[in-house]
Amino acid sequence: MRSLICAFVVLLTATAGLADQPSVRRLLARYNAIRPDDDQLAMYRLDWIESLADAQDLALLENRPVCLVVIHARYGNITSGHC
Amino acid sequence: MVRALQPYIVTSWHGHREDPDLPAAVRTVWQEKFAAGHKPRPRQLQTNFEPRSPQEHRQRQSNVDIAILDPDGNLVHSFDAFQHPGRGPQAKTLAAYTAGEIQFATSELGLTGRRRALRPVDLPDLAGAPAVRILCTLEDDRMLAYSAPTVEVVPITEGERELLSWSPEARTLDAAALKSWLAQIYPPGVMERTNPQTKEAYRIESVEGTLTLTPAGTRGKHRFMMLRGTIGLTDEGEDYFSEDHFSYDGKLEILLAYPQGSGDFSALRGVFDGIYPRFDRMHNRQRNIPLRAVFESIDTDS
Repeated sequence: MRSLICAFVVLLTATAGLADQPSVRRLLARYNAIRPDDDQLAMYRLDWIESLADAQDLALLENRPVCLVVIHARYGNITSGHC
Repeated sequence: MVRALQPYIVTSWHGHREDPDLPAAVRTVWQEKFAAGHKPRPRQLQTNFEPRSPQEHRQRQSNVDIAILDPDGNLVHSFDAFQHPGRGPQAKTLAAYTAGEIQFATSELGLTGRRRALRPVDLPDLAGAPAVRILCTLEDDRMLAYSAPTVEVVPITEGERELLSWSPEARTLDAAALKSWLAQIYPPGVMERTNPQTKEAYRIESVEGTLTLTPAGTRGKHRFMMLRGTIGLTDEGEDYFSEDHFSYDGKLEILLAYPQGSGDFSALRGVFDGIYPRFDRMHNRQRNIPLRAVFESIDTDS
C-alpha cells in the first residue's frame, strides 16, 4: 500500500509541471474519474481468505466464524469479482 | 451488509455436486438445498406469506448460497443468496435481505457484540511482488450486479519491463505482448460467456492492436512515456450473430514513469475506454455497453 501511495505522489507531483503535456493531464483526470471509489470497492473491507481450507484454519486459530459463498458453477472467483 | 460481515472470515468455493472433493460444509448446504420438499425458512414476509410448492422453490433457486460456519467448521446457517422477497409492500433489497440473514447467524453464534468498525479497503496484491492491478467496470445500468468493479492483479514480467523500457524515440509495439494485462478486461458476469458443453468461462484468446510508445516529458527526477492505441479483445467462443469469435474493442492509454537514469518504469497509470456488445436474450439483440478499466502499478518502487 505504501508503494502505491508513493507511486501516486510521484505521478501527481510530476504532472503538476507537465503543462506542455495536456495528454498526460487528460489521462490522469480520466484515470481518477473512472477508478472505482471506496464505496464501490466496499467488498474489499471484508477479511477475504483465498481458500475454504485456509479460512477454516484461521477460524480455528482466531476463534472466528466463516462466511462461505458457495457457487454452483465450474468457474467463480468472488475475490476478483469475476464470477 | 459489509458492516454485518466484519466479524467474519470470508471465502468462496465453486464446483459441482458430483465433485469428488466436495467440502463437508458445501455437502451439508447442498443436501438441505436440493432435498425434495425443502423450503427456506419463512422468516421474511410473515404476513401475506404464500408458500410455494417444492417444485417452485427448486425452480427459483439460484446457483449461489451463503453458509455461515462456526470456528470449528460446523454449519450454523445457510441461505440462497438471491432468493429474497423482492416484490410487494414488504420487499427488501438484496443487500438488506443478506444483511438480515447474516445478522440472524451472528445472533445464533452469540457474537452480536463483536467488531463492527469497518476495515479499510484492502485491494488484492501479489504480496509485495511488482504487479499491475486492473479495475474493470461494465457500465450496465440495467443490471447493477454487472456494474460492480472487478479487481485482477497480474505480475509484471521482465519481458514486459523490457518491452516498455525508456526510449527517447517513439516506437510501436504489438498489444499482444501485453496480453496478460489486457486479457483482464472483461465483464464481471462470466456466466455471460461460457462454453455450453464444459460450463467453463471463455477466456480471452487473442489481443490485437498496434500501440505507440511516445516520450511524454520530464519532471524532477522522472521522465515519462505514453503508451496508446486501439486494442481488440477476442474470446474463445462464437459471436451471437456470426461465426466469428466474440470480440470487442476500445482505446488504451497508459502513462509510464521512469526514474532519471533508469530504463525501467517505476510506476504506471492507465485507462481503457471500450464498448462491450452484450447480448440481450430477452429481445434477441445486442446492447452496446461502456466497458472501462484502469491500470495501476503496485509494489514497483523496489
